[in-house]
Amino acid sequence: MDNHSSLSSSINITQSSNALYEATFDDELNTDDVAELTEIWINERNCPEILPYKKRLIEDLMELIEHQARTTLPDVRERLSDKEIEYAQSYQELLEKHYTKSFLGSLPQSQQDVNEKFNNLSSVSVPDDYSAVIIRGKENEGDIQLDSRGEITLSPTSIYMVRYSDVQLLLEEGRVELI
Amino acid sequence: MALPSKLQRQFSPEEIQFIAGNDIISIVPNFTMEKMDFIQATYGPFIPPLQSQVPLWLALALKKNRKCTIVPPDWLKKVVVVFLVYFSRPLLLPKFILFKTPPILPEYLQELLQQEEAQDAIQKVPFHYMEVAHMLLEFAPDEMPDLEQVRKLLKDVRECRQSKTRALLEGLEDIDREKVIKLHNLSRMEINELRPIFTEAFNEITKLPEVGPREDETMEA
Repeated sequence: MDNHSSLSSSINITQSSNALYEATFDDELNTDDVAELTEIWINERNCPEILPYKKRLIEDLMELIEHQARTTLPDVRERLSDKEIEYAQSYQELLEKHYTKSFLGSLPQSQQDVNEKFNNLSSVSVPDDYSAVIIRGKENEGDIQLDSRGEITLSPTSIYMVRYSDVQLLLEEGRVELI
Repeated sequence: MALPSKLQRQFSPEEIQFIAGNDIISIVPNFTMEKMDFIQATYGPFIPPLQSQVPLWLALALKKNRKCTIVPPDWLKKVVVVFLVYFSRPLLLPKFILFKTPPILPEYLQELLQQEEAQDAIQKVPFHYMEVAHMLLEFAPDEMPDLEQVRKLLKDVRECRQSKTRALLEGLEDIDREKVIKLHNLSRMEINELRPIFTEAFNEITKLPEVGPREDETMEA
């Protein structure tokens, strides 16, 4: 009983108040964690780069789910983000091994570096910050200047397609969401 | 497991439906219960015949178990009109006088279709209009008034909007590398559909070098 209430108090649970069908047709803001998780999921899917991992949020929600399911998954939370690191590392190892076996091994020693740069072209893939993303504002903030790209209106009803690099900071600040 | 490449560019229809399922809708429960505790929020109390506000996913689950009836949202209902509208449009007054009772004005969807067809610009709609309408038509058809007419209107509205998005796509040709593209009034589902095409086009266009007169190329008379 006590366990449950302490879990609940550490998570922000509020009555959701999305009123889609009111005259304004705007999505109202939810301040609860599940809504936040949904938004983070949508942002991550739409984004060309990896966004920060929200450890606390995910851990708290996983804990609550486990409590409800009454199963013990002791290692899942701890390992979730580490698993991602593990996955990335083993992917990298596999890829290198594959390249080496297929053709790199037969090249002279000087050409064997997987991280080589040639005329600013790196063999390492990086997220393309110039990719297009579709955004809308989270709150009605009015017009803002987007570097040299002109003015846009930040509001839940104003939807734009922009270059990711132009809105990267706004996303980080939580003032826009990707849709 | 990494995300399959198809899902990297778009949400699947099921995912779009999942997101729309969080929208709140009214139900009339036929059971009595204090509260329902969920991770996200607490819903209830449920006291027939009072209406309750619950997320669409919960409404459909309750409906499936025959625990409630769903109240279709305003924009899917027939609207019985008030005299005021007719009084404020004097041109229609003579017509009105011919009728003993005021005629029922077009439903929201019908009006939307008219607006959509009349204007070049895409009209404002509820952000999840297609998904919600689809889910209600599929899982609660008995609650929907004028099923066939609603289906037809939705189809017409969608087609009208689709032809306008083609114009949006053509507008991409003219964009300055410096500008942003406005996609106001599009619904989430439409954005998801267009996303691969639009982003691909946007990315390619912005990669093109700036076109301008080169010094070594001069027109020779």
